Amino acid sequence: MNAEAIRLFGLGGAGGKIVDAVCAATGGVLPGYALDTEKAALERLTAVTSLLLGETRFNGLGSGGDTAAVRMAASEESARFPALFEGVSCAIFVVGLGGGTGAGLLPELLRAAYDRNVRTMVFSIRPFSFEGNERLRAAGISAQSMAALGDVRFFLSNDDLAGNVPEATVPEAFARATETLSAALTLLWRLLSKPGYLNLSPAMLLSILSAGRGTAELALARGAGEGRSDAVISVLAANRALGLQGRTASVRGALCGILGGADLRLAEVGEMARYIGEQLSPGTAVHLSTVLDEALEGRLEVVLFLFHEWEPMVPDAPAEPLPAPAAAASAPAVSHGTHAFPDDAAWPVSGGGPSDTARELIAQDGKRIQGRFDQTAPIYYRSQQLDEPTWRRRRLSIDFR
Amino acid sequence: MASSVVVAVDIGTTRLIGAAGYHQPDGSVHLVAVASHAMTGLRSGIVIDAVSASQNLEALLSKLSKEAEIDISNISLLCTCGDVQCAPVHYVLPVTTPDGTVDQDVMDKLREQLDLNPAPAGRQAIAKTVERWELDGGARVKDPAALRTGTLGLGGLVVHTDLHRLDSMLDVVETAHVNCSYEDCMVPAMAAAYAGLDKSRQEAGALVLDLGGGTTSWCAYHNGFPISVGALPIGGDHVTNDLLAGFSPGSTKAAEEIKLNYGNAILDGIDPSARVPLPVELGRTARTGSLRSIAMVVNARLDETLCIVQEHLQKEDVLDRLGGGIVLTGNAAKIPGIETLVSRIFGKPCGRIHLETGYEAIDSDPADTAAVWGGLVQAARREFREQHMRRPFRLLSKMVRFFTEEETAQ
Repeated sequence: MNAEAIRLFGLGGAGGKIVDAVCAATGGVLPGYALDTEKAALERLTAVTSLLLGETRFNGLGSGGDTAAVRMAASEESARFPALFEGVSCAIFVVGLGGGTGAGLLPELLRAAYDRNVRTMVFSIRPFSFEGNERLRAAGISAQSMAALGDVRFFLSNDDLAGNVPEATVPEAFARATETLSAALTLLWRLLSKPGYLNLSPAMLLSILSAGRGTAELALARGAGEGRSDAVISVLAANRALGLQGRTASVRGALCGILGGADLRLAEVGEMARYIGEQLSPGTAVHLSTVLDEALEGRLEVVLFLFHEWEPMVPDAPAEPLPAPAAAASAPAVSHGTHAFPDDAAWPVSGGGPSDTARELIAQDGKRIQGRFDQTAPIYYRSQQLDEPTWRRRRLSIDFR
Repeated sequence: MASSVVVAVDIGTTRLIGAAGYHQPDGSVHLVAVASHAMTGLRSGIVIDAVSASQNLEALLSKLSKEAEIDISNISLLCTCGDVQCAPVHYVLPVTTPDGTVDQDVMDKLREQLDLNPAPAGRQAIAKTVERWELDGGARVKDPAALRTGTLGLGGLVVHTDLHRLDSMLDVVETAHVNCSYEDCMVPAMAAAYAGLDKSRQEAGALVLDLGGGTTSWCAYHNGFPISVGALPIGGDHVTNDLLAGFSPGSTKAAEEIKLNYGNAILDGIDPSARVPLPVELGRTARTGSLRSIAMVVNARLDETLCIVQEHLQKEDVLDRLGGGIVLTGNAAKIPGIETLVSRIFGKPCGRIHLETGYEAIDSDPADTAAVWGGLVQAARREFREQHMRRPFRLLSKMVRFFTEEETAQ
C-alpha cells in the first residue's frame, strides 16, 4: 500500500474548502474529493474532484440546513459511492457542522467505506461562535448524531483552529481556521510520503488507526528560525486548544510527527520527543515519525494525534466479504412485477439463500456471528450478515468495561 | 341478530396478545376481553419450536376464554413470519354498458381479478387491497360507480409472505386446538394502521412503523389506501443481542433489562461519564456500564434497521407521499429517543401511536395493543358482513328447495 491509498473527502462547504487547500498544498499528489449540494461552492474549488449530490432535490442550491433531506439524497445516490473508495485503505473525512450537508452525507459515505473495509478518520468542525445560535444549535445536534461515526473521530472548533484572535477580520478568521486544519492534514500526508529518519508507513498508519479507534484530539505547533524548537514547545505548552496543556490526562496513544527541512537537527527531534513524552501519562503508547522536506527548510513543525482509546490489535487476515447469496428464484408473472427488498438477492426468500462458500463460512463462524439467531437462516444485506452486532460490523469503538 | 364474538391474536416473537369482541348494531366494536402471555418458540417472527409456541398460544387462549367467558374455536391471526412483501397489481377492463357508465358488474369483475391474483411461487397472499380506480387510464377516483368512461382500471396491492413459514404458524394454531385459515391472517402493521390512523391521515399519507421484538414491519397509507406493506426479520431482539455481545451481562434476560432500563435511541444529552449499575447474575460481581456506550449500541442497531426500511420505501417512491408523518407502534417504540431518530432518518415528523377506543386495556398501552385492536375490528366487521350476506342466500336456497319439492311431488 502507498500514500495514494489515502484519500481525502471534504463534505459540505467547509469540508470542501479545507480538502481543496490540502490537495493544493500537496501539489495534487494527494487525491481529494469534495461532495456538496451547492454547485457554486464546488465551482470555487480547484484542486479536488467535485461531486454534486441531490441535484433533483436541491437544484444545486444547497440543502438549506436540512440534514434529513441530505441523508435521503445521499441514500438515493449511494450507488455512486463505492467507486470513490476503489483502491483506498484509509479515508479522511472533513465535515463542517451546522450547514446540514456534511452531517447528512457522512453516514452513507461511511457505510460505503465500511463495505470495502476502509479505515476512516473524521474531522468534524464546529462553526465560529459568531455564526449565530441557530447554526451552533444545528452543529450541536449534528455532532451528537455523529458522535459514533468513523473509526477515529476528531471534534474541532473553528474558534480554536483560528487561534481565538479577536482582532482578526472575519475573512481572516475563516482563512486561519482553514489553514490550520489543512496544515495538520498536509503534515500527515508528508509523514506518509516524504523520507525521514523515522518513517510512518501507510500500513503503520492503518495499524495506529485500528488501535486508536474512538475519539481523538489534534495538537499542532510550528516554529521557524533560531529558537524554533523553543517556539514549538511554548505553543504546545500554552495553547489550550491546539497544544498539550490540560489535554493529555486521558490520552492512551499518540502519533507524533516532527517535520523539518534538511537543517533539522537530531537534537531538536530528541528535545521534542522528550518534551512530548513528559506531557503524556506513563504507559501512553507513542509512535514517533520524522520527515525531512526541503519545503520546510528553516522551519520546525510538530503535529500530534492524541487517541483516547488504545487497543492494539493482532493483525488478522484481510476480511473477505461473504460472497453474495445466489439470486432468488424469479417470480412468475404478476401484473407489473413484485416489489422486494433492496438488494433483493440478499434476502433469504424461498428458492434463494447463501452460496455454498458462504454456508461453509457460516458453519465455521456461525455461532460467533449469529449468537442467539443461530436457529434461523442468516440475514444478508449488502454483503453483511445482519445478525452480527451492528457495533461490531461498523467497528464502533465502545467502552464495554 | 347478535354478532358472534370474534378473537384476534397478535403473535409476536416475544409476546402474545389476544382480544375478543363483537360487532354492534351501531357499527362499533365492543371489546369483551384482552389478555397477554409471553411467547417462546419464535425467532424473528419464524417458528423454531412449534411445541413451545403452541403451548404458549394455548395458554393465552385459555386466559382469554376465561376472561371473555366464551369457547374459542376460530381466531384471526396477526403475524409477519419474518418476511412480508407487497406486489402492486393493475387490471383494466372495457366498460361495455351502452352509455359508458360504470356498473357494478365491471367493478365486481375487476375485484374478482384481484381476488384470483396469486402471490409469487413459494409465497402466500395474506391481504389484497384496492388502492385506486382509474378512468380511461387517467383520472383516479374513489368510487367509479355511475361515472362514464371507456375503460375502468383497478390498481391494488397483494401482500404476501413465505408460504412454508405461514403454514408452520397455522400448524401451531391448529395444535392449540383452534382454527385459522389464510384468509384470517393479517399483517400487524396493517392492522395497527387501520386502528391508529384516522381517515384524514390515511388520505394525507402516513407510515405506521411497528418496531417489534423479532421483526420491524410497516404499512404506508396514501389517498385512503395502503400503498406499501413490508417486514424485516430484525427487531428489538437484535438490540438485545448486540448488548449481550458487548457487555456480556451473563444472560439474554440481563441484556434485555439493560435495554429496557437504560437503552436510548440517540446520544443527545447523555453524559459521557455517566455510569449505571448492570444486572448482576448469580456468581458474578456487581459492575457498572457506561450509559453512553449502551446508547451507542442501541443507536447503531436501530439506525441501521431504520435506514434499511427507509431505503426500501425510497425505492418504492413512498416517502414523498407521507404528508401525515410517521406513527410508531410496537415494543421498541417505547425506547427513549426513538421518535427523534426516526424523524432524523426519514425527514418526517414522528410520534407514537395513540388510540381513543374508550377501553382502558387498549388505550393505556397502544404501542402493544394497536395491532390486535385493529385486527379485532377488521375481524368483527368481516364477520358482521358475512352474517348479513348469508341471509339472502339462505332465503334463495329455501325458495329453490320449495319449487323443487313441488315439482317432485307431482
